[in-house]
Amino acid sequence: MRPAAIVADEMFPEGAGSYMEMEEAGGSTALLMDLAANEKAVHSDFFNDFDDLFDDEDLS
Amino acid sequence: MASTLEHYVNMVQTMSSTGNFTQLCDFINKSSDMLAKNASHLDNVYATLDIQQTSLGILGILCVKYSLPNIPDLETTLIQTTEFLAKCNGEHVRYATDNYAELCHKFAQALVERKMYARGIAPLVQAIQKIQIHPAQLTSIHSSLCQLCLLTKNMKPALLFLDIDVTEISREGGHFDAKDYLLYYYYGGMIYTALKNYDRALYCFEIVITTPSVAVSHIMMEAYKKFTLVSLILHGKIISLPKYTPQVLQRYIKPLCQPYMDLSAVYTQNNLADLRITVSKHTDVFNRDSNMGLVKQCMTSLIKKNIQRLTKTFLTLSLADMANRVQLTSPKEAEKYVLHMIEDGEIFATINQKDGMVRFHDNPENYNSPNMLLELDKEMQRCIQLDEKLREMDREIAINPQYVQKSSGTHEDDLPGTSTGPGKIQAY
Repeated sequence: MRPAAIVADEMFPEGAGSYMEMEEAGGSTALLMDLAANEKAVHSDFFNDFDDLFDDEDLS
Repeated sequence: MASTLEHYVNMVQTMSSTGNFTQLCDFINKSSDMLAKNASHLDNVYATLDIQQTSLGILGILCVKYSLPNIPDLETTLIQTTEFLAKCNGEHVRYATDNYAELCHKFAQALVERKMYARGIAPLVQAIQKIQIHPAQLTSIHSSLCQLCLLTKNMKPALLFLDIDVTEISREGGHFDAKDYLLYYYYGGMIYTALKNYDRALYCFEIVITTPSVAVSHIMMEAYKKFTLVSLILHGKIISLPKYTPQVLQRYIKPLCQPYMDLSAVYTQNNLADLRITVSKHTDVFNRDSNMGLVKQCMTSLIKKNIQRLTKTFLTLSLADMANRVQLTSPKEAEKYVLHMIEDGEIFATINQKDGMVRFHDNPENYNSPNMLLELDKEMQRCIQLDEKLREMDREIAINPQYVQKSSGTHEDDLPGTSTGPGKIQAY
């Protein structure tokens, strides 16, 4: 007879489960799951219209 | 002044003086339609009210002014907002953090649209400092400040906040959006990258791309592109991400960043010629993403990395031989790189101008000088402070009623006779 599967984490003998309850882990994480909304892609309109700020040749 | 506006002024003055701020916020929110209808008289109301004594009333007026289709006399509104943010009562406006943040965003947006970026920096710095409960609290206003700093290429004001690790987020009446969080760290990463503080930049970009998510955020995608490039510059490879990185990054975002993946694959082979070919192949993409400057820095870093590799093999080497091995055009160019690397402490070497030979040395640091000990002491102090902070946060979580309830196992669902409703399943 094979032994039962070894559980790595003693705090969760039933295993980690298929999800994490982010909301209960702490206040701020809950709002970050806003991204889990029905939309597949979000923030397409965010402001990113900057010049290339990293071109060292501009300085020379 | 219309009687309804007089009523508004009276109510604001009375409730402010009696300290009924919660009720006052409700009243102001309900009055927004009335204020909008009397838009032409709002400047009179602004002049009537005292900024310190009736901050919430003025906040209500300014929010309505910005929400109008065409902001009447924008210049006056901008001056009023600047004055308000400098003089308002922090204790009062903390009762309406959502409206306060909205005002700051609209103020910043109006300035961005009119390309008057620099004008918003000082007011937003004051606005954040006034509303924060402690310096490690993040507000949604932070992202607007960083945006203005990037647009003016004046990064220093943002560092006041970016250099402090965030331990709490202001909920702003439930209006704090994940977008503001992602933007703050994305812009923060850009600021640190512009200042060549790559370590801190990588940390900021990592926060963005490891934020729990099941949808593709364009902010995360742009952050991942910059994370890739900064990681190559700093570590010569894409550093591995923590286990809690959302699957969406691997599954959706990486395939959308193929040119950057190609670049990193070629970079790790240490061949400058191949890297140049890959860069020229994807030039359009890098230019479109405004990342060409960073890509050029990647090429420079590969040259430096290859020179550093030579120090492991050779004690002396001619500049001509070095140029040949590192695929540079001339010994002169090799000399330029070696000089910069010596200046920056990246290699230890001397150049003999007479015969064009470079002599590599060992690191002269023996880690026993007073300055080095001071540096080590500072680092240890930082670690001790971080440890104390973590313990403090751990204690706070340990006494959090929700956490205690969860960890003791007496969950609502476990109680006998409690059925699991469909709403609960959906929440998971």
